[in-house]
Amino acid sequence: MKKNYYVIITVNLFLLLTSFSFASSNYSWKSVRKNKVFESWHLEGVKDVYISKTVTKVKTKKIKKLLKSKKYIKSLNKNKSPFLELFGVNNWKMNYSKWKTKNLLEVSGTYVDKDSHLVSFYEFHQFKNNKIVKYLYVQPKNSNLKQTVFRKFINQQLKKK
Amino acid sequence: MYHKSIIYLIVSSMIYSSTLFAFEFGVPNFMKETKNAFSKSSTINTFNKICKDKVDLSDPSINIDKQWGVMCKIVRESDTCKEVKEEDRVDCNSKQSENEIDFTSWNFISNCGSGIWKSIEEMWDFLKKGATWAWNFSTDSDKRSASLQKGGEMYNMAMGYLAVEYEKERAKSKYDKMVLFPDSRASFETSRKLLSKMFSKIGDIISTEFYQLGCYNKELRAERTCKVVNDILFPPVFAIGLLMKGPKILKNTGRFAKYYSKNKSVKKSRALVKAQSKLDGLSKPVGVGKALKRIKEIEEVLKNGSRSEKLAALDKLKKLKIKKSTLALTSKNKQNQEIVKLYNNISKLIENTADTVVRKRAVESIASFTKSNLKNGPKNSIMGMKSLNVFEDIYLSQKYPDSLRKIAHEQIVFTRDQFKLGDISPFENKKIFFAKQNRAKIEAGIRHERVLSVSKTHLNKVKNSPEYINVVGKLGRSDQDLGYELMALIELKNPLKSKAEIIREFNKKTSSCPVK
Repeated sequence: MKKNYYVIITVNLFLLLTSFSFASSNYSWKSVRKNKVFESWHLEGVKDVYISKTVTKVKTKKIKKLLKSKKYIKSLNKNKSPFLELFGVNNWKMNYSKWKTKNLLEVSGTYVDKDSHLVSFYEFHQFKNNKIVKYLYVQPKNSNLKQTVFRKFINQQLKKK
Repeated sequence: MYHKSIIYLIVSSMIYSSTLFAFEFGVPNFMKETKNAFSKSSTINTFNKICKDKVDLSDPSINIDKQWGVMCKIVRESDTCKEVKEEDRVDCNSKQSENEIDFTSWNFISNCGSGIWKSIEEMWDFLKKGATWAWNFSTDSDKRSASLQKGGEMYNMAMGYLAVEYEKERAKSKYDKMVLFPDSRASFETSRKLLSKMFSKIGDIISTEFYQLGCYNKELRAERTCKVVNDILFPPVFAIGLLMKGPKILKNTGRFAKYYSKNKSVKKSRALVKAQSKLDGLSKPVGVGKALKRIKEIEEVLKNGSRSEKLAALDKLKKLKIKKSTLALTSKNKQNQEIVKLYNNISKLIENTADTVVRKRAVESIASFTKSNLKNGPKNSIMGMKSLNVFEDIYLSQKYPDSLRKIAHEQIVFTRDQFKLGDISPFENKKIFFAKQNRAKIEAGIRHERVLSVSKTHLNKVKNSPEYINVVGKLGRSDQDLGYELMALIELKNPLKSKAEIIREFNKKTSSCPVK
């Protein structure tokens, strides 16, 4: 009987140590897909945490009009929710939006995915000559991950030409 | 002890894996969806096409399960099936297996559709066009041209979400070797809502255009249905064209291709909108003033005209399309208000007509007018229900005080007509439709309950009476279905025919079906 206790205690200690080491380790983003339509990364070892990158080509004239425009933010908000529902993204709500620089917009909020889980999202819209590059980060709302986990990675991506 | 737990583990994993297997290949849902006798590729659907003038399948006295054999034989021997080889035809001795394929079922489509796209890019291109279609058609007709482009923009905004939700779904099946086409499967699952809208619509079209599918036996029907589905879904531009322009495209593909290849985007949108209006049977859009004048004329005819003049006027109303105007019932614009007032007057006029043909034509015209001119038209089109209430009162007070069954039948027929006319959105799947139909039946029953002044206590008394139980038994329907229960209650007031009598009558009716 005593032997059994020793086994349980040893297993618990092992689990505790591995979880500490996991928590303290650096997260790494693994590229999971790259094609003509999108590129995506997964935070290794963490369920349902992803970043996607999509590129939309827009006329240069139109891009100039969109920069720092409130209208663009409004257009994001308007009609987006019912449209996203077609893809299992329900109750999409924008809680925060700000032009971080002249050509970088950050938007964040929540939505409910098709498995009824509340998800937090962060969108980064980078305006380049004739295209808008969009990064989307998602994580379960109840996740304890800190923002540095994705900000560092996205900043690196944004700096790329 | 260890021995026991190992056995338990093996058994539970076997149960789990078999469930998984069944789930993946769609067995449970497939079976669930087989229960619906009106499956769109079913033999019943083909029968309905052949015999619809002789037999009304919505007649509550018809029990499709029990009369399937007769219907099947009629289909087998009909002209519709004469080009199908004898050995390929539906087997009328095996109802359960022969009637089970419903290609509008999610499982059938996804298993059949998986693999038709060679790459994710191809699939996503299809989704983009599909999303644009769905967006376009959930928008008022007047704004369609703009929304076609907007649909594309919206899709670009949504792409990132589609990507992450796709990855989540893909991760679920990563270690699951049972999933045959994980990429397609993930795309299907992510866009389930959109695709089900599209497939439901495509299913409607196929069931109308390819109703001969019911002639084939189970295996061939599955194979041919899959072929039709694949032919329609690929190339995507064809599927979208079909959704936007309706089945006519199947007969006129050359003209359709022109819209996509030669015109630039705006011109293309205009051309499609114009083509859509034509298909909707609408005349050239007129200004608000002119429309007002025409509606006044129509009102006059409806007040004082003869029956044929009334029908002609209603046809005019059906085709009336007002230029650049989406009338709102709450609009402050005077001309708009006047039109809405006239529209209401016309509604009242129609409510007060006891002529069934005029009333039905009116419902059709008003549904069409509402759809093309009023904001949130189809949703607000409650005209039919209103007229039914009045019609019911007329029935009750003057003509048929005793014939409650007729009212119930009227209600069912009316619900069916409403569906045909688009009052019930074509985007909604058939389950919702049947739920609505059931609700209508229940409402019909409740009305009768009110009419009969049957209190709840009395209703329970009746329901527990041996007479009622006998009736439900005779009808052979589940007593959980309130709609049918109440129908049965109505039957109590009008002596119920025996099962044999019903079958005899049915056989007599079907004997006049145009087999040859």
